[in-house]
Amino acid sequence: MADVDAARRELEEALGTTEVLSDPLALTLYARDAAMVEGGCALVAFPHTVEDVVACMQVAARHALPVVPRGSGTGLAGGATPIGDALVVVTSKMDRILEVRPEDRLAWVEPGVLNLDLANAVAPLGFTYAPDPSSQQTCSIGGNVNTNAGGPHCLAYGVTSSHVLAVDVVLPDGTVERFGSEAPEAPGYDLRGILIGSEGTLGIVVGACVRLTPEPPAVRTMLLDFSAVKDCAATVSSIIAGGVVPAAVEMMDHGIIVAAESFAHAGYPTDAAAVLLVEVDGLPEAVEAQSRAVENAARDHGVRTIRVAADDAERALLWKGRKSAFGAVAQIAPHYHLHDCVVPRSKLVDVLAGVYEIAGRHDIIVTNVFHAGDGNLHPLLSFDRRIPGTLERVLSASEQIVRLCVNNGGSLSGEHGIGLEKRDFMPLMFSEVDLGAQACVRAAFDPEGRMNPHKVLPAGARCGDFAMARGTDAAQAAQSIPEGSWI
Amino acid sequence: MDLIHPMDKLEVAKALRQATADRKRLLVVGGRTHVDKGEPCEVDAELWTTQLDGLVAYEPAEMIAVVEAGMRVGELDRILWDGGQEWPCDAPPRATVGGVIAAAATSPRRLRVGPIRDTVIEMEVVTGDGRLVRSGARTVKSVTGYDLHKLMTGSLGTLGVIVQVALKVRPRPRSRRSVRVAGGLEVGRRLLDAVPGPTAVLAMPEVVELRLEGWPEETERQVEATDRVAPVTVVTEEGAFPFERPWEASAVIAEAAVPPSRLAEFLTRPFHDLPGPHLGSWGALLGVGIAWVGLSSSDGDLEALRTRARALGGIAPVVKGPGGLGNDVPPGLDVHRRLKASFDPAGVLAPGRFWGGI
Amino acid sequence: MAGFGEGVEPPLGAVMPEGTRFIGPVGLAANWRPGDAPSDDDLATCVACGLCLPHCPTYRLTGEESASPRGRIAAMRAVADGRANVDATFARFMDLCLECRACEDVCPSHVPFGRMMERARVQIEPLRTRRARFVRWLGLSVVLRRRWVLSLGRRLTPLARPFLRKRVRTLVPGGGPGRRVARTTEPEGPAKGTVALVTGCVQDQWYRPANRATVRVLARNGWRVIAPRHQVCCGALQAHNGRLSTARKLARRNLAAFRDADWVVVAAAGCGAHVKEYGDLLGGEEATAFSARVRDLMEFLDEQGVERPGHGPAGEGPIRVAYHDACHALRAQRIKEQPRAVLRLIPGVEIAEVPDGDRCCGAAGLYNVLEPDMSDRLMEQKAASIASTEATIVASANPGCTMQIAAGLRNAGRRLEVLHPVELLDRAYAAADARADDR
Repeated sequence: MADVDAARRELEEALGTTEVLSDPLALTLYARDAAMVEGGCALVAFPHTVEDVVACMQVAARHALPVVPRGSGTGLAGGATPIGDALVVVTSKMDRILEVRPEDRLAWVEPGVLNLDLANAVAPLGFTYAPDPSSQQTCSIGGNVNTNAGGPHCLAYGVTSSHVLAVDVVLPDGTVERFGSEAPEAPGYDLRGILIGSEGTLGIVVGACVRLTPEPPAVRTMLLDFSAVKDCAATVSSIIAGGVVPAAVEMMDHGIIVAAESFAHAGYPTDAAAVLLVEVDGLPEAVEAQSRAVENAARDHGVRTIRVAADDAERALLWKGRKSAFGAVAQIAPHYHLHDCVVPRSKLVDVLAGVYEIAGRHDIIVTNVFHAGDGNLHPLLSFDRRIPGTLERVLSASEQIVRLCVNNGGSLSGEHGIGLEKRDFMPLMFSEVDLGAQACVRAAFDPEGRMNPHKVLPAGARCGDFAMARGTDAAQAAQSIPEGSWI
Repeated sequence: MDLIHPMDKLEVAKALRQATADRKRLLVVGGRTHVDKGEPCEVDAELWTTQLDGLVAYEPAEMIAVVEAGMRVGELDRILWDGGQEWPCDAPPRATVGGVIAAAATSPRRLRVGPIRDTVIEMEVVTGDGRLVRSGARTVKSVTGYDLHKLMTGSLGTLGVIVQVALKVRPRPRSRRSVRVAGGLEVGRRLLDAVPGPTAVLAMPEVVELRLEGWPEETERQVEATDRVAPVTVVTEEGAFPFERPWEASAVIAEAAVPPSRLAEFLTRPFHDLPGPHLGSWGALLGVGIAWVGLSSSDGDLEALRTRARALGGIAPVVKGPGGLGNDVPPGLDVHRRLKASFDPAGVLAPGRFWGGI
Repeated sequence: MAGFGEGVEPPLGAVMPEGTRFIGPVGLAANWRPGDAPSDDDLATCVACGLCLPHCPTYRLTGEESASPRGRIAAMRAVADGRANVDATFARFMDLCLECRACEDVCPSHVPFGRMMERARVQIEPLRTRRARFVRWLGLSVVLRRRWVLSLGRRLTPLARPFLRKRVRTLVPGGGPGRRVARTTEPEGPAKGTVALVTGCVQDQWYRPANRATVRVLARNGWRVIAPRHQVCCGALQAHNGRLSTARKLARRNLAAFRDADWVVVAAAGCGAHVKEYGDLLGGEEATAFSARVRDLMEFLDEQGVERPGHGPAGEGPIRVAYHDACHALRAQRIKEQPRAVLRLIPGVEIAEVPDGDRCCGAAGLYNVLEPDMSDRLMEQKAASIASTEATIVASANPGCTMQIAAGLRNAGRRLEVLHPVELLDRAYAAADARADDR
């Protein structure tokens, strides 16, 4: 049993008493993120500096406390949900933009800097930070790094991994390392690449060097409105198959359109079965050509109307509805369960039909708002936990939806991560050997297994099973590997 | 030297199990185009991947191609051509896909197309002890477990043998222009600022070459913008980029990587220090920070170059000829060692070839 | 763990590690004290998405969940679920809220945060020390409820000034209020209708010139203006500070006092927001119908149209006016464009947008007295933002904000005049009339 009280005293000594929480009610507020599983923790710490984080790691190591890093707590997979006597290290107070260097198209930021604050800070210089998760006004860069966050504009610009040049990390043993560099290549394995998307299981990100993207000279945002979901989905495949990659292609179905419209008043057609929000950018000539291609694809699939945003204000309004869609679903029911599967774009029509069917069979309301261009679904099951039996129906439907996606060649998560909620689905995609290899990566960073335990990998996955050759006679080990286990 | 020439991934796995049992050290070889990259290391055999050259799946509408790692880049280009797409690595046609990835080779068009690691979305790899491991997914994005393929990209075959990959490919631009103007780094810098959305700005000592890609109207405007900065001397509509790579004539080529804004400092200052006769030519990717520098030998010049690169926050491994990677220690050396021990427990995969003596 | 029954294989994703559970009620009784408390239905509207966080001034300053709307709701939910008690920590979390309601405005699920917070404050009231309760009772239930006491207080302020705590001293403006507004003011021509003015407490005692300007402007634009004699304090501060029953009593009296007017117009945003919510507070048809007749002054002027002044308020030159959005106008009443539209009618007026203009100035009713540290930090931020606009006048339609901003600017050594926007319009009319007389 860890000596939490001693750990608290040492943390207070290092960080100051106001920066460590141990009151039960205060701890409750850090027991979950935006997903639907709640845990608990023993301590919460607010580091202000890299040294503070190092101190947190050292104290945790001394007292064998699990460590759970947390940014803004907007995660949708329970990645920041602490369990047991965890120390939650909240990086929200490390929120300075340290340096903006237009000549290298990069900026150094602390992990608590909010995504939108960064984008706004570099806008006057003609740059943007391309990954734009829907929670961008709230989510932090540290959190983005840990989930390899996406967003509508990642269709053309790529996910976080393509926009983070280097990360400063405090490893579980308290050492500080910089993975990646300002230069395009760095010595060693791409530990930066492994760390991005590792959901806080390898270390705590204390700084990031992000790539800045020049603002496109011209942008056009279009709202395409359809009377059938399948036409809408087919349009997406058609656009991409035509060799056009818009900056963003987002889809919203009827339920979401109604909820989002009630908040954003964006003028969404509330009688539509589905809409596509398409943005194209580039030189004016390219914008023109891409718009034509998009409009043609939409007409081929019976689009009802095409609304082109007349100015920045209208554009912002069209996006406001999209980006607040998740938050708006409480209008439908108080709880939601959300998946984040990615499927091949050509399977969108079939998979969506399947999702509606499964939800219908389980008598659960499902709405869809997602990155259609990437094939990244967000089937959102709305329910009221207070009605007995509902949660069980939701979980059953949820498993069937995930299986449907994986059976169609899909992936479990496009941008939210696996966290706690989806870890038991991992064997649907990966063999035991695959998972063992992943466990080895984790163990290489965190041999004691104290970083964000229970996350990402299912309970069974162990490095030991994989690297059984270690420390034994290699020849003997090779013999002992059961025939066939390597395929 | 022994030669192992597996026909499929099962044979690769078998070979590695055997090597682990026999403690036989292997060098994984593809098209031999990037084999010089890495520290010199002694091996007992070469493992050739070139027979693993099948196309596994290609659906143009998905913009994803799945190929075995021994497929030649030229072959892949031909396949993708029919789908109106490309995998923008710009490596020699005889290079293998796996080799390009294991070497993390840089495309001259990196400014627009990004590093090679961003195009690898799924990978199957056979570890040093002969296990077939898959990571990633055949979808354009995925945050599902740890991206082992990131680890393997650029690992120079020291953690496993890449046997199959899913690649994110891109539509072949409708219009492509390569444009030459007279000038060097300074003209290049001005072009980088003035030309909207170039695919590459390659500066050489006397000339700057731009690659412009997009819709026809777009490239036309880019050519005009170029011409306003410096008179365009040559425009081609097809063909490879760049026209030529003069640094490739040198015996030794270092591929330096420095923060983009430090390129000028890196390329102009060290050459004053270096003895004149050893100077080869160079080409620098502006806005990216990569410079290929030709040297006549890997003696004193290379060390001077590396010292300068290090001072500017960069590195300068050799990609052709002798000279290795340099003695920069990778950050998280313990993590590196533990990874190596997990994936190649008997140390059969080119021990010592990688950074940090790994 | 969800209940799948004996022998049934639970679906993937249903088995969570020990020490975790799916969110939702745990089957314990709520730990609320008797009396008003946040309702379960209201609490259920928050999905914890966190989109409110960056818009919450106290979260912005602290970076702590307990100082955010999501965290405060989570704390309320913990009490409602029987997992926590209404204790000193709970009170601390609730007290730090400005009730600026920026969160409500940005909440895609329309979470009624203000309503929940008012009820949570009722819950914490019994926890306060006897002295704190006495001071609050004195201020909220005695002084504000009785005009004469408030007026006496105002008259005594100059004498009391040396004895006041420094922060109160900086906040309270000096000078006398001047003439009270008339019970009835007839318009110049035929009346378009009758407008009853909510004169406000602080507004009427310390910013009476704004009330007089309101009456003049309304009358000039054809409205009969009455200032009902039996009106009482609107009850906003009581409602925000855990005295809902007092607030309800006051609301009922006002319902009666304003029965006869076509419109009820409020020039102070904090009062306006609350009076518009009488329907919510009291329930019933009468209160709801009453709320529908209430308008913020600037909103009313914009809706009904006003005469465009023939002249600027000060000479020929342009004047740069920084418009301050009071949270209780911008958020609670969603008033943003209307006052700007009215000000733009005035020749020479140039409206400067304040950077981060939607962030609370820290006045927030009694907050600036009760939570001085947080309030000061917000006040400094706001003063710096306003100063950066290089305006010479600040237009503020809420007396609390006006006090706070004036103090902040004074502390920062800035000389800007802080006026109610209607005063600018009134001055413009006066300037135009003076010029007409000259001719």
